[in-house]
Amino acid sequence: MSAGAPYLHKDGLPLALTTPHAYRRPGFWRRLRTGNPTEAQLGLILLIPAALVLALVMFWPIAQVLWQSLHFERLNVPARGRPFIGFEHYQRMLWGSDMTWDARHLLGWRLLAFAGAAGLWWGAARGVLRRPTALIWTVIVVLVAGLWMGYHPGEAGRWNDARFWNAFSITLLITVASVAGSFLVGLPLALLANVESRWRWLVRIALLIPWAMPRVLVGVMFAWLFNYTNGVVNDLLGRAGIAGPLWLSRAEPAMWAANITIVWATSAFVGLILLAGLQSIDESLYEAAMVDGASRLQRFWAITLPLLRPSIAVALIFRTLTAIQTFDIPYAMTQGGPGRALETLGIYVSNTTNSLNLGYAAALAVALFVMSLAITVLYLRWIYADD
Amino acid sequence: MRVAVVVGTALLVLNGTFPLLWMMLTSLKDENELIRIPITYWPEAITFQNYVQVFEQLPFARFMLNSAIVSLTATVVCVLIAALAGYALGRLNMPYRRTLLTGIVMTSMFPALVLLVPLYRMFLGMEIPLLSPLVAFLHDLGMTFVPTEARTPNLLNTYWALIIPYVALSLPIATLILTSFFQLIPRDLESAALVDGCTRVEALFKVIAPVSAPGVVTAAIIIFVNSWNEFLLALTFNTAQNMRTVPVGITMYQGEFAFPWATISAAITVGVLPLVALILLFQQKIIAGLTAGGVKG
Amino acid sequence: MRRTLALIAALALVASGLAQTPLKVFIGGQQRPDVIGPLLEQFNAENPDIVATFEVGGATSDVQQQYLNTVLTSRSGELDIFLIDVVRPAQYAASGWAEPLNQFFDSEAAMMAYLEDFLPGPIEANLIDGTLYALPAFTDAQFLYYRADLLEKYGFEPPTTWEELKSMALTIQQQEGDPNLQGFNYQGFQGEGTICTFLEALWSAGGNWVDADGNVTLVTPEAERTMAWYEDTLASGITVENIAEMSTDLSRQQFQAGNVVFMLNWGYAWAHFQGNSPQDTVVAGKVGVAPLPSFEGFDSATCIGGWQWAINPYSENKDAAWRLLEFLASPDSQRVLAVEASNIPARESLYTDPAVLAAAPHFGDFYDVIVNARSRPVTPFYNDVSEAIRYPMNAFFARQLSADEALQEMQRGVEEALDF
Repeated sequence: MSAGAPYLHKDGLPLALTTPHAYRRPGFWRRLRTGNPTEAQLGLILLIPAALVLALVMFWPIAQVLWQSLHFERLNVPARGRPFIGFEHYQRMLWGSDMTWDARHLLGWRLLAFAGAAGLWWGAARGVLRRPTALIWTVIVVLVAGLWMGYHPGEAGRWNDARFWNAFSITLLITVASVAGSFLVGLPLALLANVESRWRWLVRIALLIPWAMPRVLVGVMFAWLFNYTNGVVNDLLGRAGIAGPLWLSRAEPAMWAANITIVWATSAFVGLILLAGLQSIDESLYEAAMVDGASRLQRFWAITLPLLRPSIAVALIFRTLTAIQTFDIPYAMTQGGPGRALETLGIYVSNTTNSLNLGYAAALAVALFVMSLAITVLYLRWIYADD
Repeated sequence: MRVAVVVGTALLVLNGTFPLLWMMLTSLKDENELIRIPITYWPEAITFQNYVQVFEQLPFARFMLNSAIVSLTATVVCVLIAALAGYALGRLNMPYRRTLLTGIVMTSMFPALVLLVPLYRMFLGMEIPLLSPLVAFLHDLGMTFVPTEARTPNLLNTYWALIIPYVALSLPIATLILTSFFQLIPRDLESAALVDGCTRVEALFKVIAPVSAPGVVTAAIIIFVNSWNEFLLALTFNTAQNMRTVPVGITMYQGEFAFPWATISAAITVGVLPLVALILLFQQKIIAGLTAGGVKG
Repeated sequence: MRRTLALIAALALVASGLAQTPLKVFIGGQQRPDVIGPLLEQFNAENPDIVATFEVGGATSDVQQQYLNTVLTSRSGELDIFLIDVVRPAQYAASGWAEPLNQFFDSEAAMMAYLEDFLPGPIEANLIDGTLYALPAFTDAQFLYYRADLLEKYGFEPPTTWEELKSMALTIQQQEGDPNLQGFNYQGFQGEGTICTFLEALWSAGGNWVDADGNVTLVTPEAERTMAWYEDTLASGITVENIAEMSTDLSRQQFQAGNVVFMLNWGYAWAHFQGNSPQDTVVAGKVGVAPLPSFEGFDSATCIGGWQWAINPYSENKDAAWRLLEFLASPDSQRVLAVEASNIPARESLYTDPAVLAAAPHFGDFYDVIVNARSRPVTPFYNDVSEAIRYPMNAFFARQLSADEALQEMQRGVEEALDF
């Protein structure tokens, strides 16, 4: 029976009609040729242009950076060449090599903190915890642990990069504060911009302007607004009878000033994405809910928020990715100062690059990358929760 | 509720426009008014000298043209590529969707700063496994947009040097936005169209395009603004005066120490206004157009 | 016939094109492209076999350096000559990013004779272990600017010690009764100005950041005295509380608005004060310049600034580049830069040059300060050393670190930077 099958196939007759037992799904190439690709095949074809562009412009340079991070490379010490040193940079960054009591003690706590965060994450993945709960707890654990690491960076020395831990915790603080801030500001912005009115165009302009300003100058502009003597902020505060703080000359106010600036500049981005999400929600859902007598708040909770979830996730992912890389605004405002109060990982990478320690800068960039990756995977789980 | 909306809107408008208004007022002031204590809000004597300065000192109109060409091209190319990828990842039943999407998003997790040297070498035509034939090919076609003074054929100081990385830099976010939008569309809608005898392509335009229009426009705006405001790559790759873009151009008015705020405010104002106009156009016309077209079709 | 002519013309064009060596010069936006451009045109006219063009980079030292880092890390020969900050030559020498210039002289003696006319400070930065890596384009230094009118009003001479400066400033502040009047303004922000702020006082206390054997000496009585002095400026109220955000230009603006009695700043501020500035000046004709004060019994010292011309070692046209370099460093070119761009000349002879003195009479006053200017740390690791000094200093001004902690942190940081 099977011997007779090939010629039938050659005639182009569907095999299934004649010999049901010998039916095979048409092969990959055949389906492509006949113009009837499976969804997976079609998907792969549609991904080709994106893959090409990214491979050329992003993956290849990224591969070089990864490789570089495993080498000693300081351009002002050319005599040392570019020896392969394995994971020494990462070791230096994370725990150091001379295991003093202090270093071991720190290492233990750091590992514990990472393990805690990872445990929560696994819990979420296995469905042990509810996802939102897991998300919130992960953020709390990472934040507390990260800030603790920043405040106890260990004794500074060649083999314990205290500066990395300081930058790590400042990055975390700015990330959590500015992402939360820009979301809390961006959501109302989007809701307002979606209200039908004569002034909608004005609202939309106002929504977009902060984000359309050249980013390199936003920091300079706000540094000027926050200036202690000539700044508008302190002038307005003074007129209201409040003595303005030394915004950029003290650590805590500087952190506030930087976060306010970042939230100002980026809430528009969040608002824009959420606005698009709001626009795609079917009006009839609201009408139906109104018929059912749902209040405004109920409608918001029951319809708007769930349907907005993918947009919220997109906005949060990209806000978080850019927040982790925060560089230009704090740099323009205080160059990472006062002291190292605003020195984010992005600024540390930049300073290390400018010092021509390219190997270590690459390793720092990879650390930044790992931070981002962990968070993104978490978010993407949330978007694809239904799968 | 009505009051809350009005107050909220007023606050929003104030928040968004205050710094720009401040810039605009500043650009009408004399420089010495800026450092006065107490500070002045309304300019004492309005002067347009700063705007004259912007165009006299440097070819600012040319900077704007460059930015427009680069950003528009990057936007169109990127939206197309991202729409394909987004459709694949959001609509089609593919294995490893999340992994693929993570892979794409991953590329925006590296600070552009550390990718600068590899990209520079690539565009310079050095040690490139992939790009050098492409560079030579584009160069042979005369597709450098402007003749370069380069000694070896390379992409530096051409529009390509910015368009290519801008497409790649914005691709992750555009793909993610479009994926999430395509995902929103109920599968039944498309199946119904297919059953009605539409081809997949027809279904794409009739069913999916209208629903995803806000997503496409949002992605386009984001790509456009990202490209318009990008600084680091523009500073490094396009160093000829006539190839500069707006953000780099604006910083050229400053000195090592001195920061001429009035001139720079004027430059920022001039640089931002077309962007705002364009975004409004996008928002009003294109959304309306796409949605209307979908309904009619 | 016409065709033959056209052919000949085309051939001539090709020939001339072949014979002309292209050169590209990199300068920063703040280094007056409007003055350098005509200079290059003059050079091209004098040297028909070379076509020199220039490229303008970012406007600040940091941005320019970052661009040059990218170009040179990529070993690109797209640029032939570039301007670098005075703190860079040691790093460029170590990295092999600047072509040694000794080869262009017949002998060591000829080189030293050529360098004779330059000021010692910039040469100290460019001549590393007998190898010359760059030629000075123009120089700079930090000066003590003071309000001549106020000093005269109260019968003071410019101060020679920090103590005098403090008592004068206090007197003037009290007598004037203006709450916005600052006695003494200097740079405390996270940047290059702050290193100078620290080093200048340290030098004027007889200290230095290293001793003769190369040991880092930042926890010393001299350094403690320096920190005590700055502590005192804040405690006594002659300096504003927000000194940690005081950048170079913010200082200049405050002085120009008439809010400051004494200020440390670079040479560029002078032209602003005299009215060559986008901002109005209330201090035109009321400004004096003096060498920096010192502690009783020690010599005054200031930080050197300025920019240098260097040749890209990856350039393919080094000989032509050297000819251009010689032209740019020549007395005539430096005179043009001094007269038209108010750049402080790096050649001694120009300080007595009538054309220069007619255009910039204050260069005569500057000379005494400039000739004694000292270099910031000359090391391939300048970036790290600079970071290690300015961060604790800025943290000290922001009251995050005490004076002792700041010095400990500097000592540790500089040692770490040098021990690679």
